[in-house]
Amino acid sequence: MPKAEFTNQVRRFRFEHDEMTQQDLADRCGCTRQTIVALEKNKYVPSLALAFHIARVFGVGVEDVFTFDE
Amino acid sequence: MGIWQKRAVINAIIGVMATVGFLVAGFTGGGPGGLVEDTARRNIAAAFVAFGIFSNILVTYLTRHRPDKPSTLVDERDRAIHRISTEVSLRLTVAAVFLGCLILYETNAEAGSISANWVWFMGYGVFLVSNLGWAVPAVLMYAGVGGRAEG
Repeated sequence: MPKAEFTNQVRRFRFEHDEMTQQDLADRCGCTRQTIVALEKNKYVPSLALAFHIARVFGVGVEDVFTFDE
Repeated sequence: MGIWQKRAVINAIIGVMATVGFLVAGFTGGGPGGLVEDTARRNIAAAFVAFGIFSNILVTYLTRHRPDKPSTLVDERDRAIHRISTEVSLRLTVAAVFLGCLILYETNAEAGSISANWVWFMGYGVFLVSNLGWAVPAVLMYAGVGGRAEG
């Protein structure tokens, strides 16, 4: 299986939504701010549930926020 | 810093202190071979291990998730890192016991017996390997070293 590369646009969407803070996004998704930080630095791949939570906060689809390249 | 990251950092610091103290007590004044006869040195080495174990229990209790305190929230990334570091700790502990037994066998095969001192030393030492084997990988993963965790 070829190595997969996960990337995301969480930071961009955050800024586009009234410059939402990492803490605010974390509170809405039920995770810690440190997890949001790790996500934005591509140091963490979220579960499906968290990915859906984040996408719904931004009012977009999961694939608009998260990208999966092979 | 999240509550479980604090747990990992504190346990790593305590683990290093306990390990250094245990090794210094174990290898000075004649090495582990003389621990049965040297009660004072044996008690000091055991005290360092006890310090490590009880501190670990206390820190685990103090860093538990409390629903009434949002600052103690534990999320999927914490659980993922905890899961990986627990597995690393298990494998390191197994490896340490295996290597210890093998080294003792190779160095004592001709004599046909192993000093009880070494068995005591290994028994206590395994606790420290287990603790450090969990705490250090957790600290590194929280710092983003060695790839990324997946939820």
